[in-house]
Amino acid sequence: MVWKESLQEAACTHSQSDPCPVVLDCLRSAEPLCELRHNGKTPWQAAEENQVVVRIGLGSCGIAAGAKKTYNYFKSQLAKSGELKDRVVLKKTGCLGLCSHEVVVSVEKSDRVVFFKNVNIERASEILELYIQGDSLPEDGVLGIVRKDQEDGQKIGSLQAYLNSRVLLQNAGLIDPSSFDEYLASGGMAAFAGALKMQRRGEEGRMLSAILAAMSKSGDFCIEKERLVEFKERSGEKTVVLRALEQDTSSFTVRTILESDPYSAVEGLMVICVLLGASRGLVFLDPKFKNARVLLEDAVCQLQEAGLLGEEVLGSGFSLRIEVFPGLESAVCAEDGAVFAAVLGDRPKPGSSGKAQGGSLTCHLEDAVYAVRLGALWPGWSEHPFKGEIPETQVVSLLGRVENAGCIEVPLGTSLREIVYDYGGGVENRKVLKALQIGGASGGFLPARLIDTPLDQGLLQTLGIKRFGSILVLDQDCCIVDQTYYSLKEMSGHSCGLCIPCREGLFRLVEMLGSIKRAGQGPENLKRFQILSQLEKLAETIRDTSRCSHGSSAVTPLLTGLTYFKDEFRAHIFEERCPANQCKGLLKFKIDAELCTGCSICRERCPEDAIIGQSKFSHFIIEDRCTSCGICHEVCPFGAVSFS
Amino acid sequence: MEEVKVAVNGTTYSARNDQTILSLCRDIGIDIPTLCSADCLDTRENCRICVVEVVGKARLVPACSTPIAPGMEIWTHSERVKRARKTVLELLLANHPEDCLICLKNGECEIQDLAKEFGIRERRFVGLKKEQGTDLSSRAIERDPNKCVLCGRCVEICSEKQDVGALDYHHRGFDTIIGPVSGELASSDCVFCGQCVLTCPTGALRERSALKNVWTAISDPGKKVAAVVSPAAKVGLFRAREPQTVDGLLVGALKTLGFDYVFDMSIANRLYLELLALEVKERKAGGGPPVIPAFCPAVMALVEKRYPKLLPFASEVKSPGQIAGILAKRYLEQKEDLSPRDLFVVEIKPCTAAKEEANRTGSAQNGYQPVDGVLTTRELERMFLTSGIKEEKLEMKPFDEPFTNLYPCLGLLETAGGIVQALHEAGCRGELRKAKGLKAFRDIEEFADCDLLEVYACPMGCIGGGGANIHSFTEAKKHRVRLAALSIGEGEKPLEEAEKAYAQIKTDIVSEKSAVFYREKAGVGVRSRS
Repeated sequence: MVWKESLQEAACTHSQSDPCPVVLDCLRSAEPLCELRHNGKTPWQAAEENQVVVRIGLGSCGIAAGAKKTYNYFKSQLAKSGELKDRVVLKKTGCLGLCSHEVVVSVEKSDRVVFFKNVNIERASEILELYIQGDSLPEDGVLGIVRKDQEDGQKIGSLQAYLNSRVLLQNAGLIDPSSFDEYLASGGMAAFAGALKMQRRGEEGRMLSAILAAMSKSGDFCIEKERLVEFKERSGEKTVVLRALEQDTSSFTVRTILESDPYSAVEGLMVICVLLGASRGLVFLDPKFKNARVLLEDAVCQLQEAGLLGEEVLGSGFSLRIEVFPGLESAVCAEDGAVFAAVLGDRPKPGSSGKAQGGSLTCHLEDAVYAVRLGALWPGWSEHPFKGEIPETQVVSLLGRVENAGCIEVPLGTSLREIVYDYGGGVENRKVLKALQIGGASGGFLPARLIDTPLDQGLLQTLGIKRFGSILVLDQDCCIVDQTYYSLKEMSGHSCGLCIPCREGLFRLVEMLGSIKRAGQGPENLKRFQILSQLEKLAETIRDTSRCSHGSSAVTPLLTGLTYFKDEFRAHIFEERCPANQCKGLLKFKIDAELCTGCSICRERCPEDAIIGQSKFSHFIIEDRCTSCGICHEVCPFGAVSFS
Repeated sequence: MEEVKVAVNGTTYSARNDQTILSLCRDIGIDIPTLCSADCLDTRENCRICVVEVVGKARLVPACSTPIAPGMEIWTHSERVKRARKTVLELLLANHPEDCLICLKNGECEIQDLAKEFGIRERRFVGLKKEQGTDLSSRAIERDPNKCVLCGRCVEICSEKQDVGALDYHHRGFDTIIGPVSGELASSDCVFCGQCVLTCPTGALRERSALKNVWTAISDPGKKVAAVVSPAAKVGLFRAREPQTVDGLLVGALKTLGFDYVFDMSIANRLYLELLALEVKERKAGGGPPVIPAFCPAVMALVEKRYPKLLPFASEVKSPGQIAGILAKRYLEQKEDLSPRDLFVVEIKPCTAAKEEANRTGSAQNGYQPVDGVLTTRELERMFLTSGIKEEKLEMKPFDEPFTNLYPCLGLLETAGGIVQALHEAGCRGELRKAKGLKAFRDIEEFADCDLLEVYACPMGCIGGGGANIHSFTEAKKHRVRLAALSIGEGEKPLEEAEKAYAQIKTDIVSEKSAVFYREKAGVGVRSRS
């Protein structure tokens, strides 16, 4: 890979075989020339001859899958056997991003690293006996094998190729997130060294190009260039707020990065602070990220102890403070104004001309980490910006009806088909793909026929969204109306309530969608037929008039749904039929007299007393009373209740 | 500042580049409807009623906050804009009670005006409405969240202009409401200044009406009802008439309504001033802290609730309204030979905080309240309306003796700066300072070495009070001019005679001065919390 070669050129004389003995001292020197680059991107260096390193993914998803049990099992087994205790080192790592394979355990032995998936205690004992003590691989449960000395082929699906292609997630799941030493060993702090060097030499022009390149990841400026320049030139105390918030409601990319590689996040913020001359950095954290908060605070402490943060960093005359600020969740802090208001302790609302705005700037977590990765190239770079030298990637949370859900990193321009079928392993249970919802609750629907669209800016423009973090896979059993209803409901509930279109309009849309999800009665039907045109007009008005992007993006699912799946909306409204059989309110239930044994369970459970019948004789549903709740269908032990 | 050319509705105009689209359009005579932005307030961008189309922008932009840019092409009333505005208003109406006919603001409601302007004839969106109870906890202001359109004006005026911060947004989405944190105004930081009532475009915030009590008292044959009229209340009434006829017309109108006695507040004002001057002198001699006059009940409420450490600063002299009530009751007690229970004194003043003050148990004298009801100017106008009183047909009548308008110039007490000016004129020496609004308490240290600190809660004093019948700040300015016009002249009697009459009243009624006019010293209790 081109960018990795340029890394090698930029590196100092130290290498893996001859590591920099004084990593921190080197940074402290007047000219931190050592780029701390040990060996590109492979962090494996711990295993000595005959030593085995077992790493267990203890990210949030790993813990949820039972990683703590597996970890404790390994620990107790190692403690039991003296021979194993000497040979095997047990380590914790963050999340690899392959959530459906959790618990993931990697075993580093001789020249290769084997990744095991779904490691429960049973499988763990198998690994211990067969692979660690013996030398044969268990038959199943191997996720992939990475050879330390051999570049793997480019085929996607090979774990080694995938791990090598990652940029932002390069350390995720491979190093111990709480260990500063491992971060340094994997090439950390090189960007900070590069930034400090530029700052000490007073290379203002270079610093500006560097920050512009860093903050313009994927060509999408999160802030305008002018504002960035203005902020850089501003004197006085400045604050950079790192938005450690998810890009959309269903994404978990930010959490994955924070939990697997917190040092990269902090270093990114440090680098941006140095380049912009800001003396204070604030990590604005979603309060739900409890594990990440512990890791981040720990990282800041470690960096302070190492003298890389605080007054007069490394004798440079430059002071830098980093604080971890548990703020508010991303859904209410979409706008910068809201973030600043929250920092000041106010109610988050958009575009409030906050007092902090002048001396503050926000940056996205992805941009900060991208700056760290770019920073590794700074020493060797003099004139031209290096944009394009690092592959541009997108971290995506893949979820929904997909075989392998998880947080993956793909090169920009990868087609959605590749993402769903190659990275994600296809639709769950081999069902037919219906649509993708890109961008969480405020994201747009893309029908299955457009699945060959590449993932890039063009796609986002088509859908009318700015940034996204997740791709939700919907199969043939998903109802678009239902999905739109719940998306809008979530966005409506998170509206700050200041402007009318977003506060009232979204609520009315939810009401209208709710009403077409159930059968109409009598005069209601007249109203029902108008809903289709009303939905579209109202959605357009909300998009046109709402105060901030929360409201205007909230209608995206509805507008894209109406563009690509209008027939489904029509079926709900005019035919009172849900093609995917998801909207229970539209289903008509019937008891098959042949199959019914008259057990009366349905009659007793029916909340509306809509079922009549004598015991041991077949029962009937009174249509007028039935609210289509579906309980009878669920409880019938003989499968006699069917719906249409 | 530069001149730039912009096109509005196809015509090119030159504009200053520091203007917003809204101010430019107002300058050139194009009317853009607004809801959340109001006179002198910074609320903007909330209502989205003022959106306009700017060629080249994908979305509609709010005229109130979008600055003019050179070469801008603006369409203020295109089909798209009109439809968007109408839809936004329809959305608002869908969540608004349909009780216009029985609403306090019927006819003067800004939402009604907009609905009329946009020609709304049907309810397109029907669904859930918010259902919250009305907050009747305070005796001055009631809050009906159902009528609230969440424009945010009251939040802005309460926290930014008044520096009280009792109101704010709560919850999110459809459940968003504006109100005090506790849900009840009485237990919140609210000082009852009523500025929120003035700015509210709908009937969501309104004064607690005393009308029912007053009407009952008037119709009760066993009760004698006396009205005490404050100078600031006169300002808002009979505005088309000559200043010197206002007193007569007002008394005539009140007598027609059925008030048995109509008194002027000028004697009480005079007495208040005298006692205040005395207190300033005593405090100065004793080396005490500066005096904060208890003239404004909202100021006192703020001191009590937010700055209890400043309670020793507060003056011990009751407000002129309370003094007037005591005087009236004492006088009528002797004259009519009635128990105080059969007397009903109504203070007429454009003040909502006075309603709270009148009801405090701490202000009771010998077991009865000096003032039984407070009518704001707006409420009085409503009484005129109900009784069919027409300005043109009114008969002029004089104030009842002995509390006539002896000192018209003391009317100026009710504008900002009035107390200091009057004290100066009365020969009170010492450093008397004026503070601008309630924000002054934030940096009270600045005023530590003065002898008196005059604070009015409302902008421009009582004429801009929360009970005034004004709709904007500009109107309040007109009121100030009017008050100045009302306050000139000799009064009903020449000064010499007035002084004699005043001395007479003092000896007749005010026998035990300290007991009546001074607050109890106990615990520096300016007012005990009721």
